[in-house]
Amino acid sequence: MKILLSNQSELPIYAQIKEQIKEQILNGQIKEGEILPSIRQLAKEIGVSVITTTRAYNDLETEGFIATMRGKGSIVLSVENNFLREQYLKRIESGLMTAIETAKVIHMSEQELLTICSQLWKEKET
Amino acid sequence: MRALYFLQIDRMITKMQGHLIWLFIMIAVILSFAQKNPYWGSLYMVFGSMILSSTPFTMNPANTYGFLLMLPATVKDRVFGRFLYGLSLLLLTLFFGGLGTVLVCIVNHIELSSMILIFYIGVAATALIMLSIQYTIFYLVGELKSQQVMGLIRMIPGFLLFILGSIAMDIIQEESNSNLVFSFLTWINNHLFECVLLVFLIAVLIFLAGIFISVKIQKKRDFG
Amino acid sequence: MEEILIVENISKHYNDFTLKDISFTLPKGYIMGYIGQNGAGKTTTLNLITGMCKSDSGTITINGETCSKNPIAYKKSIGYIGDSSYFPVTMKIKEIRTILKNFYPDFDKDKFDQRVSEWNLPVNKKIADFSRGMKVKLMFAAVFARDTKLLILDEATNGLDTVMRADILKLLQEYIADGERSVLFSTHILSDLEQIADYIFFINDGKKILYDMKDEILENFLLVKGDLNEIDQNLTKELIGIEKNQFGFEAILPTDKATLLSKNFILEKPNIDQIVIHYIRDIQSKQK
Repeated sequence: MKILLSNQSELPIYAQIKEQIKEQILNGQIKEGEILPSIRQLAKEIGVSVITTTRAYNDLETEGFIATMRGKGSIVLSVENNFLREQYLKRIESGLMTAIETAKVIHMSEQELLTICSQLWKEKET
Repeated sequence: MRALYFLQIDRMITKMQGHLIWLFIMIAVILSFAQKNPYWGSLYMVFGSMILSSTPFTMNPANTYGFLLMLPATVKDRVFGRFLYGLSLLLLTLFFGGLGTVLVCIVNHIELSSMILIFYIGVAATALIMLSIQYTIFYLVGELKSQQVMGLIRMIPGFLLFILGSIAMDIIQEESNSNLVFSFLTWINNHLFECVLLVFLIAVLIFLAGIFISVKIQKKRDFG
Repeated sequence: MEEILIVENISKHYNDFTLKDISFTLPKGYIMGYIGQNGAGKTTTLNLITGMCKSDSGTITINGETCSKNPIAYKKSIGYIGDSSYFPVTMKIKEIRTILKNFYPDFDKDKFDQRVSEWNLPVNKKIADFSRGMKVKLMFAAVFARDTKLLILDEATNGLDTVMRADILKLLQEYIADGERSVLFSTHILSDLEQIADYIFFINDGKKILYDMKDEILENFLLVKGDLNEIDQNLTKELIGIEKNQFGFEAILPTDKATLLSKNFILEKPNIDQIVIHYIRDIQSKQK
């Protein structure tokens, strides 16, 4: 696991930790079932406060990436697991809802909206 | 137990004057032999201890003693340990003083009369009482900025003891001069055991009272 | 969360300074930075916590014990390190070691000796002849050879070189690593705390100014820079510690008031130093 923090970043430290761990889980650098260093160990290693790493881990747990077992540390959950997928589905639906409501305000048709969606999808792939 | 450790600490702090005690011992011995006076031994020695015993009070700047103040102990431990320090100096000098007295008597073929013993006990008890009072005054006064006042409290008991002792010495050596004094000293001689016991008890009571009062005073203080 | 240190409404009045109604708690396994200018009341507070001085009112509990009821258990849990020697200057290391052994049953003399030789502390010199750095290192050696629950540092890193300071910060993080012990660290070198402090208590003139988790404090404020002409009435009320110069101004603003800002301002994440400076400027300007 790699964590590199930047004081110049827009993101607060806890968010940087969270995002970096998330990123590594999603692209497989941190494998499912791997046990992450404990909150205190991590804080000591990278030289940040315990509350900061606690917050990062709490968020990761809420978002379904890890599960913390008392005294045993935090284990990385499967990206495929149902709980996580649920979370993502919720986010997708919420994002789409916002787009649909906004489209209706300016009287855009369903087709126009789907076209925009395809375009953006293609842009994201590059 | 902790009180004894504080006694040890006081001895560590007053290391320098450890050598002064031996100076006093030497002077007392020389004087005693020079004057062939067996009383000098005890008196001068105890005079010395009365002055040196106040050293822990006069060298106590609070900010280099944080370490000592933070040691896990009660005020009672600290005060008791301090009083024990004074007592230990007193006992030390009484021992050597007594030894010196005995030696002078042997060398000069003076009889070790009960007068000498009475004088010795009188000095010991008076010294203990004065020590207790002096220490209690030191605690009352606390950390005074005035060096002069501290110096006075330091010196007065010793000199007082010395003067009283000298007067007592003179009275005893001229015991035949006054009927009153003679009968008083004879009476004590006849009731030696009870007098010693009484004097011992009073001195110990005052010693303990001094500790008790000083603890009460110190408990309310900052940097105590 | 269990609290290792509970400070409740303590006050202390001196002729020229009063500490007023200070309260805070420190849970087990965390680091609190106690910050403020010189003379703000940091040392007074710490003297009350260590039991050197007695508060006029209020209570202080460490692991459930108070100094007046149980001074021995209370003082045993504290490891104190100050910015200058508090050892009697005529003593040598050997004597300090003896005293530590006598009074602290958990004192590990091997650990002590190890650190003394590791840091090259002079075994045959009197403390009076130690350099400042050596005196502080001796304090650390003495404290870390004991079993303590609360580490109190009173400006302990002043006058230490950068490398030693970094080493000490690492030591502090190791100290709390088991989640059972805490650190209360007073300093005005705020960069030391920037990274590792969990909580911050900011005191000025004997009174509490800020007390919160460090992360929260940093997120609750913005550093605002801009043109003096751009500030309107509403904004002036909310800006804290406006520092003006010929070319613009700089101030701190609570994040929830950011709606008052127009696009013409530069917004940055402040560090603790900047928050402190602007708060103090604010207080100073209000006193005029």
